[in-house]
Amino acid sequence: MGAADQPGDRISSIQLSLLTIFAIMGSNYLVMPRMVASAGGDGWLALIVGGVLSVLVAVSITRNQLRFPGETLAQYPQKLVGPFLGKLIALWVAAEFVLMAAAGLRLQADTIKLFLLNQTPMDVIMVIMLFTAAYAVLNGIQALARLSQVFFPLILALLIFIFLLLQTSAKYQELLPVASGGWRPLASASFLSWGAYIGFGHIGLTMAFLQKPRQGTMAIVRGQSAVILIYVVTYILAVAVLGVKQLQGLLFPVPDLVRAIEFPVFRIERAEGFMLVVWLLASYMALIIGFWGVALILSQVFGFNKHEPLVYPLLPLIFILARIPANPLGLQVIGGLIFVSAILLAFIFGAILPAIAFFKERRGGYG
Amino acid sequence: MGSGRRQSNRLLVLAAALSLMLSLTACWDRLDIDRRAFIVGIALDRASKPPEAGSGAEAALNQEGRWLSVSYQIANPAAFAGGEGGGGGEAEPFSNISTTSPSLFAAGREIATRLDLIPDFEHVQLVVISEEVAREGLEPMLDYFQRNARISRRAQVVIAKGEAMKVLAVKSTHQPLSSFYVADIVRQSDTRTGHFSPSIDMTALFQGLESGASMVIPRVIPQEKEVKVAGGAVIRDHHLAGWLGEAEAEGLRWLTGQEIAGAITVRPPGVSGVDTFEVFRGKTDIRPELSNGSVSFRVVINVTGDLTEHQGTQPAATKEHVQRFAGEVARTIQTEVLATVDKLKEFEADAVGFGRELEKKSPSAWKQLKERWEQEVFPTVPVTVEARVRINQLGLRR
Repeated sequence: MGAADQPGDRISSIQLSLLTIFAIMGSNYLVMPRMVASAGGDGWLALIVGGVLSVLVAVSITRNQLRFPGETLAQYPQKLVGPFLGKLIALWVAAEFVLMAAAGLRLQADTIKLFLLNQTPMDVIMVIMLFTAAYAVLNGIQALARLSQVFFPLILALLIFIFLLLQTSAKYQELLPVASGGWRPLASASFLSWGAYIGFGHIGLTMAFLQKPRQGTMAIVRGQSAVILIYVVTYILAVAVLGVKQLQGLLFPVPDLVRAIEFPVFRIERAEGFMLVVWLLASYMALIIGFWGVALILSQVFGFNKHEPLVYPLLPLIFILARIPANPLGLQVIGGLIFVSAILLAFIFGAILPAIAFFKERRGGYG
Repeated sequence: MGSGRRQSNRLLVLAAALSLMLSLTACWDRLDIDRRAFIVGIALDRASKPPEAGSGAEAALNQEGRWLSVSYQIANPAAFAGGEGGGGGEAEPFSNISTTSPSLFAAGREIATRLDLIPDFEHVQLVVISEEVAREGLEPMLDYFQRNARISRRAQVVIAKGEAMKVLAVKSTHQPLSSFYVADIVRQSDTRTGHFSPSIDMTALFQGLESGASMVIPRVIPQEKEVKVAGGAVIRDHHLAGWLGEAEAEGLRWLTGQEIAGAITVRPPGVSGVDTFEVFRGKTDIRPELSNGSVSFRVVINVTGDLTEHQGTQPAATKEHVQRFAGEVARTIQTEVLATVDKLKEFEADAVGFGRELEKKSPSAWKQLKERWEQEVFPTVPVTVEARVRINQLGLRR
């Protein structure tokens, strides 16, 4: 029996692409250049390498998942490694999602406080965001998918607008010489760039809701490719506008990049507002996707019919986790935890589980 | 019946939601516009005497700290509000307020003891740094303006000859706000004259200071009723190393290929008066040349522009004259550029980025020279300049 019992719960492959874009961008776009800044002007190369790796992992995961149509990551691993280990893995993913939702919420609140509302207490910002998220999550996957369709044209238009405005102050010579620092910083930055791509974990759930599961792999690859493109363009512009050294010193490189807009024709005050709209929409989407994911995994592991009853009990958990870090340094610790866990999970879902499935298939069936 | 009832319930809920939205929404950060002091300019001077006591000042006094005198220009919107029986004319368009502090942020808070409004830094147009502060080092500039998300990044940065405060105090007749006056000169004249070095906004300043490379910031000379933006301040390793004059600033523009603009007046042989060339577009190419271990640079400048003035009885629109004129302009550019290079060599400040060009061409050669570039290599490096001038328009007369 699949996860999506009602036909109304099915999503299209375009919706899956958009969900993928939001889930990845929404987790770390704002600070993404920081992760590869150690490679200096070559960070965009690292972003491409890391991005292609993440695509390969996603392809491997979805290929394996196609063996179990309509089942989520909370269900099919049990057929491969037994019910106990299978449930354990599912709970691990749920924990990862909770941490990502909390870290995302915190980063969101930090940016709102820094750039928009410095007097507003952080708790207030977080609680409002969380309740708004809970409202969307209660309406299930359809609400998420449709929201992504509503938001996407807006953020695309804003990003293109911002990128065009930045052309007047971009000095592309800053990117030269290419790859002069040797392969070592490039390799380590490629590895670290994974931190900007880990948001695709939801595919283990959303794939099960696809109208035509066969299209799932392509849909996800399309979404990831779009994110790689946006990241690379953003990074190249960040280097061209801010210069390598300035970029390396910034905690919030993307809004600072947009603040540098100096358009000769008409004055644009506080241009970072445009980027904050993009970021808040994306990060809200990532929050609700993660939130929904946790609720769904837990409901399936513990044998609930629906995910809705788990939504409200999860609210305080996410809130408290988001409130724990005292400052951005504390948030970086959580980020490190998420990063390590994501790489382990990518290994489990992208390599170990497919290998087990492969051998079990040869022996005949998943008995 | 039932559905009608449900519908009316829905309407009730909708009405309740709407009225709640209208009555309950509020904003923590609300600050009415007439409660804000719009800071449009900031001037940094070296303080002559330590401040009065307060908020950690004594603690900082014991250390070898540098005291800055920070001045803020506050725009007075009432002076710009039109009408109302000519009342607008009497109010001063701005007021300046100064304080002494080792920390820029603390200075911003210190003025709260004398200001009944909340300072708003989102519209800062101009940051003036005094000669003395620049000479001691621009480190104080680096952090505060970058760390704070609420200060405009689009402010123009200039170095004042003498006291920075005097620039803010200028009372120009046509533009009452001196910060806007100076910032607009720097911004707009950038494309019409070459007499000062290319404009530097906050982003460009941080980029230069962070990269550690030498840079040139426009110089402003305050007078009573006007300012003159002319030449540039050469910053090496965060410190003022010396000045560039107007011709040298123009030479710098030719060298960097940035915002090349302005008029060049020459006296071609055989012409009684002078001829003037107006630059339309220029492109500069710096080519590093490496031959058995030694570096040299060839600068190729391609210029197109118009003949805009010709004082003389013979017609200007002849092939020979245009050729002679172009040659003369090219020679003038060459001389100007070489003079600038010599000046920068004298300051041991590679503000053009010759080193950067070398890095682009040969990263390995740059790695070897990097450490001793500005002090040892650059001052003796051979530079040749070639200017190619193309005349586009000859105007309306023969």
